[in-house]
Amino acid sequence: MSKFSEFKNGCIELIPLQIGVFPFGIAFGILGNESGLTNLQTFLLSSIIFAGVSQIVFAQLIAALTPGFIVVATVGIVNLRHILYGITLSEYLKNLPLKWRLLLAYLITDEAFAISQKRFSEKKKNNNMHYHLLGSGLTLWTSWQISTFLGIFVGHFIPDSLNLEFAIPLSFIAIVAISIKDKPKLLVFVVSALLSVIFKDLPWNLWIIVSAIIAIFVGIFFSNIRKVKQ
Amino acid sequence: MIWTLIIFSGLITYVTRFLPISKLMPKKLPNLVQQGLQYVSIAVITPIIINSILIDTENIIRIDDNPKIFAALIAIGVALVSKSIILTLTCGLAIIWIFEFLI
Repeated sequence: MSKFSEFKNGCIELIPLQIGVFPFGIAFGILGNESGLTNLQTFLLSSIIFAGVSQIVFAQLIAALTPGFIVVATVGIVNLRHILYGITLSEYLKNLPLKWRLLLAYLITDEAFAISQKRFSEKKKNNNMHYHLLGSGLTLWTSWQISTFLGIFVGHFIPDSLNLEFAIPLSFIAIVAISIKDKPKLLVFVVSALLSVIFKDLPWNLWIIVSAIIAIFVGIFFSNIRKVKQ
Repeated sequence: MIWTLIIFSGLITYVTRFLPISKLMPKKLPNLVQQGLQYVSIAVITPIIINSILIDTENIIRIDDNPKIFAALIAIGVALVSKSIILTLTCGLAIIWIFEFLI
């Protein structure tokens, strides 16, 4: 397939995911304002970080007056999942010139990964496949900027009683519920949920990091015990 | 100050994206690390969900008179059955609206 048709397919295949991304971006735009970030800061977060969950975490921690290094560390931990995506993608991207890898790295998101990974694992491979990720990544990037912008500037006109900010935990519920596919993951869910309540009063908003790290270790421990038993 | 944090958060985000395709990282990570990475999303996102549903602005756990709990439970059910983010969003918001406008 030509460069252009790979690119076009990437764009088109990402479009169905926009239905979920758009309200999320709008909700982030609204949240940014409420967190005490300026309009410019909220808007540029969507291109500088360009990762929904991390941006939400960033805004919430800023709103709760969290020390800077905890904010950055928490964002870092939230982003560790990108490493898994990168490892999977590196099989297809590792031989590209550096400037391509620098660009494509910026576009690796949950959505673009899901769509383009599907393409990469198809049988009919060629040397233009990275254009697929470029297409899916740029499409998501564009709609993320537009929806953030709408959230910032149109958000004021949406009545509070609609509770649109509730779209954020709801999106998260969907992400988590869909990814619980085995018992260790279910355990990680339960443990991190319980711990987040227990640790809610930890100083500096450490509850996210501490709950997450302990839950990850419990998950690793449990899945290895299961393997030993089998 | 906030701009500094934005830049650093952006940098750390970019590093997690670029490192694995940079040739700087070992091809195969230790099994335990690989396993741990699979749990990151759930482990990090769940506390945020719980916090935004159960805990109010004064950092108090709110169980009574909290329609968000009900909406969240329905949303979990919808997500598990439908595997659809948009359906989960719609049902969850609909329930909150029913509480807000009808009850």
